[in-house]
Amino acid sequence: MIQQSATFPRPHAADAESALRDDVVQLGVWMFLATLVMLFAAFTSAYIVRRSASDWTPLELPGILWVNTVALLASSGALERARVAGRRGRVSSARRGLATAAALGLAFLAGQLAAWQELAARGVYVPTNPHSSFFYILTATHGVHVVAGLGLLVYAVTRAWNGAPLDHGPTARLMTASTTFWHFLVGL
Amino acid sequence: MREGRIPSKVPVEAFFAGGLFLLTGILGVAYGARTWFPPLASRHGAGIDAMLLYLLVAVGALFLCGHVALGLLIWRGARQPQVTHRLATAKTEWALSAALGLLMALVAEGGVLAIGIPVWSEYFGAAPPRDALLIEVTAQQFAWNVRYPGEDGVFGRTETRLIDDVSNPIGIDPDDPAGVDDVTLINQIAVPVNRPVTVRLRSKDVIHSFFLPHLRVKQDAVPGMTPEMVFVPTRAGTFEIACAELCGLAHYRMQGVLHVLSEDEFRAWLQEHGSR
Amino acid sequence: MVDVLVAPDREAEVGTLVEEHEEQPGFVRRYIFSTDHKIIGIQYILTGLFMAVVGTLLAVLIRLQLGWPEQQWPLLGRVLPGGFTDGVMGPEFYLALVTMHGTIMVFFFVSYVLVSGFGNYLIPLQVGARDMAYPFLNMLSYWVAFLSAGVMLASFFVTGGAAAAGWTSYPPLSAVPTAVPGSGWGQTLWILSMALFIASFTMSSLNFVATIFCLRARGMAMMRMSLTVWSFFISAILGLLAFPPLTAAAVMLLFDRHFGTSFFLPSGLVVANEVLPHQGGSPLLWQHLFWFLGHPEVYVLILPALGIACDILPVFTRKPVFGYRIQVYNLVAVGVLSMVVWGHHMFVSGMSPFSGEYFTLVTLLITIPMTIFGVNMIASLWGGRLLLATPMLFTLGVIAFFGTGGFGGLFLGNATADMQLHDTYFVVGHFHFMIGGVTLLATFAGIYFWFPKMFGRSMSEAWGKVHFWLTFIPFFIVFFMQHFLGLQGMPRRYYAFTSYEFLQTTMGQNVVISIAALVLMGAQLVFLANFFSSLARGRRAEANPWRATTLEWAAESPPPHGNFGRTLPVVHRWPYEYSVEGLEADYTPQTVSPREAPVTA
Repeated sequence: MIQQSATFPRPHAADAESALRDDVVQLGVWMFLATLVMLFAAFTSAYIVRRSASDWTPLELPGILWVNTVALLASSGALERARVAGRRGRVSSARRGLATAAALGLAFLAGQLAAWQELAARGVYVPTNPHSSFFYILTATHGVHVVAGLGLLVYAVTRAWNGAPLDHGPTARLMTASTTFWHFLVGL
Repeated sequence: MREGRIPSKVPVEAFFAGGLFLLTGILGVAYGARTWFPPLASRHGAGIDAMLLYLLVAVGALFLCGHVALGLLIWRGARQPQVTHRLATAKTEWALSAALGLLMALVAEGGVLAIGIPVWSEYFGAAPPRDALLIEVTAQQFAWNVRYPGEDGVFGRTETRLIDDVSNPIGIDPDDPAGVDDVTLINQIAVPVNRPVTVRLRSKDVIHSFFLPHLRVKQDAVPGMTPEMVFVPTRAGTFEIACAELCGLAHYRMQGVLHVLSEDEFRAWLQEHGSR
Repeated sequence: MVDVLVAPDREAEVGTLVEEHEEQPGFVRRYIFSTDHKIIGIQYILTGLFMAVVGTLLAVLIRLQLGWPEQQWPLLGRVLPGGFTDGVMGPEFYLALVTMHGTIMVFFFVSYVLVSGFGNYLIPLQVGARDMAYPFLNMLSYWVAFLSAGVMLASFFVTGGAAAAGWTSYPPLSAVPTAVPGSGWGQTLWILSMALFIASFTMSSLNFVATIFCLRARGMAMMRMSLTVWSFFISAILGLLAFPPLTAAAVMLLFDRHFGTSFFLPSGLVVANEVLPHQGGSPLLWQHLFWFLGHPEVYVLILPALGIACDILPVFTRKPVFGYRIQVYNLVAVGVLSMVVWGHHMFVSGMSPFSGEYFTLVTLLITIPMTIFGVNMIASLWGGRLLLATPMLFTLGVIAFFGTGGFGGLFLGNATADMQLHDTYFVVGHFHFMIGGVTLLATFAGIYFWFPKMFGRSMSEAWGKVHFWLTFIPFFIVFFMQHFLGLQGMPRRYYAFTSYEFLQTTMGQNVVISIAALVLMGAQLVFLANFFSSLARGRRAEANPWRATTLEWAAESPPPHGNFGRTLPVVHRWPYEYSVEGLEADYTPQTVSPREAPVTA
């Protein structure tokens, strides 16, 4: 009845098909980002409205958050350089950049956890006050997506180290997609 | 291809199909054309009823026309041996659509806005008149706590921690002198006829909705908020209060009574319920 | 934007299938964890039909209670001891029924069958692609959807029973476990199930949009796509943009319920004699977030129904749909407008009256494209040669229900009339016509229409017609009458209304409605019997039994993996080339070249 194939379409029709695939994957990433924008916009608008109420007591946020932001920005820069290097065929440069980006991403997550720990030590938990509730929820939601992005990066790292080409094909697409996603999370 | 005359005999199946829609239209209008509203008892309610009636007539006519058109087109189409080739040009399609859109906007929507905006403004926009009777209604699972401010016209302070379901359901502070003359009841309200009433709604637990079907009054009672609305009862009598927002197990029997009395009767009633 | 699939000289190679001697994957990979959009589409349809049966059984119980309140049902009392005491239904069970009926029908029936099911099945076929843009993601979307349905069904069996705060789950009722029994574990599972559903639907929507944008066959310009595809396109975009606020709201509700936050819970709440510690939240925030999704969601559901109806009409009138371009613009306009009207669900919620005026205005605006859409459907019948097959009967029903239900919207969409009608049976009657009637009839029309393509067999026409008559008439009776119950003031979600003086006259009407509803629901057995027996023993169908022009009919029935054989189709014309003057055949498929038949659009 219905035949299933394992490889489809055939590899030697690669070029045009691959270029189309690049576009299809990128379009998917951008659409997904639109969805995420709406998600964070929902949280943010709720936050803004809540902030205007009379019983709002702002939290003093831990200083390490700035360090984390810098780490994530640096990670983003490293990843972008890695992607460009990959597209130009400079494989070892791309691999290094990927690994750096992943490491810095990990550092960001660790730093975020440290921020949470600092707040907890001060007795500020999720339900303590509206600002803390929003802070934890927003950073948690962002963090979950960073973990997912990190997963993509680690996957890209393993593929790159196993010799997959970085200037075209699935791994290149993965790198482009991950980079877009990563930049978005950094921007957020 | 030359078109022949369309034969006059409708195939059996199409006869019934077209007839179905024709009958639906006719019977639907016949069913709908009767008095459905609970008898009116408020001033702004007249505007709401006018809106409802306007829509019933307008929509009823459109409903009938639409179904008749559907039925007749089915009969016609089933008799045609071939397609009519005077197909509409794109320009015709655009023109017809635009005309229809404009017609709708002016008639249906225009009517709605013309009738509706004054009512909405009166209900919510206008500042409550000076002689309005102020009543506070605090909804809870599953009763309406009613409070009058008493002679001083001021409500006593309430506090959550003072709430006792049996003796002090809305938590009136006994130390507040303004609260001493407050009159409290459960599930009963009385108001004088032809005088504006302002209801200040509160809720102790979940969202309820204060619904007076005969007076065309409905407002959600939201915990954390105190929405207010004004209405003028125009007919003496006893009217039911129902809850119109799902609030839990006994949502269906959160029943209250509104007495609309003459001024004298009202004063007597308040006196009677005030002396606790 | 990529408009053309691939360079012409590569086409033959790109379209090549695997050679015959390659090994076939096993049953599990072919039919269970398949990435073939056709299998996934059918999986969605079958799951949705199952959930529809569950939702219908819930409705049976609801109507039994409303038609005969205080009645004893000893048999039911023995089968469902949790919901009945001495054979009489309890209010906590009733509220769970009402909540779950709504949730299951909206998300797990209509969305699964009409949007995900037909969408997945038809889009690649109708645009001329071999599969969806992300086949693996597609498979994932189905299994997450399956899991979501499972979690939702599981919620019936936890302590306290299923969620009971309505499908709209307004806090504080849904946020405080002691406010109603279903707000215990039932509500938590409801939230988790919805989170899974949204994830699944997002994956589906990504696929729909990417496939339609990027994978159309050569010659398939956007304005040569069928209205079915257009409707899925707009639906998917709406889904991508509108669901996230509900995700955010669901997360916040979960936190309010389990982690002590106060997103929706103000201070001073006293529930079950206990003062709650929450501070400063707003129940209205939930309503805004919920309805920001909730309103576009109903268009996500109804647009595909309308698109499918518009495409079935030409096949059975043998002439083009009236105003194709206008219909496309209507779909787009409705999609855009649907995102700014959500407040018409909140006129008496306590939000600012100024907002009420704004939402009335935009809601009135949205009626315009919808009305033009409906009139164009009726106009499509003008001058046509009518063939009354089962799909056409249901499609005519779609037009009737769309009009009837749509008119009710005029009442509810303006703040003034809504004051009296909010939360009454008028609303129930209205939305059942739209997302219960239009979508239901369109689903049936679609199933009868595409069954031959999907399964290579035909359903019984005779039984199909019986099904139509037994569905249309009782459905109309039930939900038309409910509008008038609303005018009489009968509120929603009432377990019983026997104690109210002003509702005494509605008792008889409720009995009539319940009887009609039972007939309606029983009639669906005719459909199920037809469906399954035709699967097993139906007459074999050819590739194009309805003589239609869209691309899916160019493939075999059922289409093989890869859909179109060695070469992808090339499109030369729009999908409505019916009864073109001067030609012998009364239809020209989209793939026929201009040399063989003139192109009209």
